Amino acid sequence: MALMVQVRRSRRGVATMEAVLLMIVFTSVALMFSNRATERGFMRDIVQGPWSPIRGMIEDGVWQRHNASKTAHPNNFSRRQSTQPP
Amino acid sequence: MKRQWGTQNRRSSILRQKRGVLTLDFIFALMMTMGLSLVFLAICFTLSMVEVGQYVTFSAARASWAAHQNRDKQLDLGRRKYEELRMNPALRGILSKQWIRFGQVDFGDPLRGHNDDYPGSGQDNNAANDNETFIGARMRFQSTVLDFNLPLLGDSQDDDSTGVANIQTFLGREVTTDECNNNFNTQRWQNILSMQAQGAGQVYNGASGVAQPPAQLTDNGC
Repeated sequence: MALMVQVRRSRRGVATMEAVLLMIVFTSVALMFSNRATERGFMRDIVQGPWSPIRGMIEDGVWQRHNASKTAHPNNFSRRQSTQPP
Repeated sequence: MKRQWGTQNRRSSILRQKRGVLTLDFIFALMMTMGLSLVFLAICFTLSMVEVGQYVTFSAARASWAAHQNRDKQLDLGRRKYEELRMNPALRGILSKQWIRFGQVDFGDPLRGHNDDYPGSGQDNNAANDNETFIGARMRFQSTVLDFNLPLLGDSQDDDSTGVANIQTFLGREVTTDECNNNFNTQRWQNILSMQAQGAGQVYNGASGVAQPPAQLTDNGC
């Protein structure tokens, strides 16, 4: 009987259980953050998101999406020189 | 009994110490930092190689810009310049990794270049939109380093057009000697002969009865 009481009063496992629970909590939070980042395209927003305007600048020299930047190319400016006769 | 108490104290001290927390923090922080550093490194490398590609197309366009015997020879100079730069040991070493891909240089239509790709550049024969200025070199650029999958953060792209662009330089071109002769000198000579035939007080005295001019002078730009 005295031995049973001593076992029940022992607190040696409490810290271990708390450590396991904390580990589960932190792992869950990390996995939740990872899943959210993957589903919402965190990396795609950084890399793929701005690529179209960057491509517009690379191709046509203007900060516009590449499929709309061609009309704003500086070579479209009105000039006096032409290869077509009037 | 003393041994049990000693063991308990040692286990308790192990559970209470926090040295491992710093290790775990370091591991997660290292993964996040390395991942984001990789992203920005890839972007910086890509944009740097875009600048290199800009110079390659500029050099090719410049080589094909100057006057020559005909347009084919102008384009041949441009292609040779591109191959010279493309085969440079420094550039070839970087491109051999396949992180960045340079396509073949493209001059478009031999006479009209890439004008058909640009609305309002003259293909509609509108006098107000007669900018035949999109003549030059174009090169397909592709960055494969922008396509990666980071742990905990996911894919960087789900669209194959990310990292792809046309690097191009439109400098126009000078007129060729053949164009000078065919479109200017010959027509000018025919007009002179026509003036002689018409008479009316405008007679060319230097080459009466000669169908072709004895010599044509050009300065590679009419």
